[in-house]
Amino acid sequence: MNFVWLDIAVRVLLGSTLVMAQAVLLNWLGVPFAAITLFAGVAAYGAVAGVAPVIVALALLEAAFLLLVRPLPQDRYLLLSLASLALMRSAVGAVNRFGGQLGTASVSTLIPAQRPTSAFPFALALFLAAFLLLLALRHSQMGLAVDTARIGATDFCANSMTPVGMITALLLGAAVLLAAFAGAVQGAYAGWIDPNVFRIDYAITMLVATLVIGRMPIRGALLAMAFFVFPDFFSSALGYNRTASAHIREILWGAAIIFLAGRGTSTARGNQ
Amino acid sequence: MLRGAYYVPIALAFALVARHGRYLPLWLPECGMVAAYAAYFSIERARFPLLLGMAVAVLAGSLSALVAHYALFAGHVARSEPFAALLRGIGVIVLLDNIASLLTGGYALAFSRLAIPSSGRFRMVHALLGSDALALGCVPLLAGGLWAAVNHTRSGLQYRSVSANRQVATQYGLRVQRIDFIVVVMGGLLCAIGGITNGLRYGLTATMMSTTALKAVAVVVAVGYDRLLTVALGMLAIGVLESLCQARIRFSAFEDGVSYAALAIGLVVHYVVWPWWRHWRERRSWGAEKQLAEARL
Repeated sequence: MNFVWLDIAVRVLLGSTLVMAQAVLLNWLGVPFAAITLFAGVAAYGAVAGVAPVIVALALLEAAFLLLVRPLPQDRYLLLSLASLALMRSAVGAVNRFGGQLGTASVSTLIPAQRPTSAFPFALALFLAAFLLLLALRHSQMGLAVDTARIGATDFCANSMTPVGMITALLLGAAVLLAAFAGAVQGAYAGWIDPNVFRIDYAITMLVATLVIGRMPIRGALLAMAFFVFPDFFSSALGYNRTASAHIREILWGAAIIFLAGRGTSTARGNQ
Repeated sequence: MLRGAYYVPIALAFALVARHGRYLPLWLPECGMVAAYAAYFSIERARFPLLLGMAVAVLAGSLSALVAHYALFAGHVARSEPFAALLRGIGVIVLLDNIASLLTGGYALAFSRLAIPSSGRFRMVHALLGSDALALGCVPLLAGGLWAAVNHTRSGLQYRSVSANRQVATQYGLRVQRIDFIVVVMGGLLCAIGGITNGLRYGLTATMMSTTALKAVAVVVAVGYDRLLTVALGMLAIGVLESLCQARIRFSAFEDGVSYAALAIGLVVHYVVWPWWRHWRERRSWGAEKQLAEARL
């Protein structure tokens, strides 16, 4: 395997980890959250801001999103999660210490920038952790409780059978942890971080992938990887422009969202 | 203010359709993009006369709104499924933006056709484009006209009745299907106007409407979709604030964040602070009544 494919593998594994972390919230738990890149982006700035401020920021963001799950209707919650990205982008872009809107170099002793051989083990470990989490949700009693909690959004009996708040906090914490580590690896590997990590269109790309992978762990993991590997693979195999391949991917998956949303596959929590 | 004026038709269309269908029609501003591209291709490529090209574009915008509504969203409106409709709306945006980007190679298209002849005497006019005058003129016309039509006409009463409760409106004999049709056509028409004016001012890009859509959603959700005049004023205020942020280097990063801040504040106030305040006030008055009753005893 040459370095180009190793580089693609690192990006695919990190992207898939983020998608699977978001799927835990959106597909399994039914919380309409679409800003997993917010946590990844905040953690990516850890190389510049330091670990402690990043942990505090992540904890505050998690608490805020946790508190707003119940009062907000699900479509408003989704919008708020996207809006939080734009706000974070503006806030980070205004700080000179972080390089403003141009960004700054991120230096890590553990993962040197643009060295796929050093980033690959971390990316693989995170991917496997996310995959194991999905497997556990599928095959364990905890998974059954999560299913009951999701159904509890519309069914009073199901709601009374599970500690919904505790499960939501637990899974949100797990998703935040996965996203934060993935973001930190991504930031260190890229060697440069700028406010574009909080772009809404990137979050929407993640949302598209999350909705399509559904609630099947193996199929979901494979689909998530296929989503990110498609542009590189397509352009490498057919000699097609990589950007155009990404457009084709988004067109196909956008059509899949239109189809899947019509079938009502995603039942999210909250007031209708 | 000019910047906000370009957003106003989109926000009005969004508020009109959102109130009617009780969901957030994120897809609707994309009809403006369809109209803008239709205007470009009919005027620049097919060499249609300006007015005919504009008419074709407005028609294309309205038709695309009708097709999208009846093919994808009418069922969600009838069944009251706002979340599924929102997800489908995101799917439509992703689909249309990428098709447009693929067809144009990702390049922006210049489409400035309404330049006002410059004159040495009128320096203010020298800086303005025809599309600026059009956008500014549309604000009082569209906002006032729509507000009057919705709140002070018989058709507006029917619209409000259907928006409030479709089932009851149907049982009372209102022609809900006809109102659906008119609302979607109006929404498409307003978006077409917004899309064409935006295209004339800022050029055509594949994502020209998706950002505007999110800004319109932010304001409509923050102020409430039943307040058309406030929506228009809110959009103008967002334009002013964005321009002020752009003018100051220290705040330039917040240029795109203004509308989202309004959205976040609006949502938290509407769904968290206000219910909590109401609950607290009720408990307080209940406690006072209880104390009074105990004192009387």
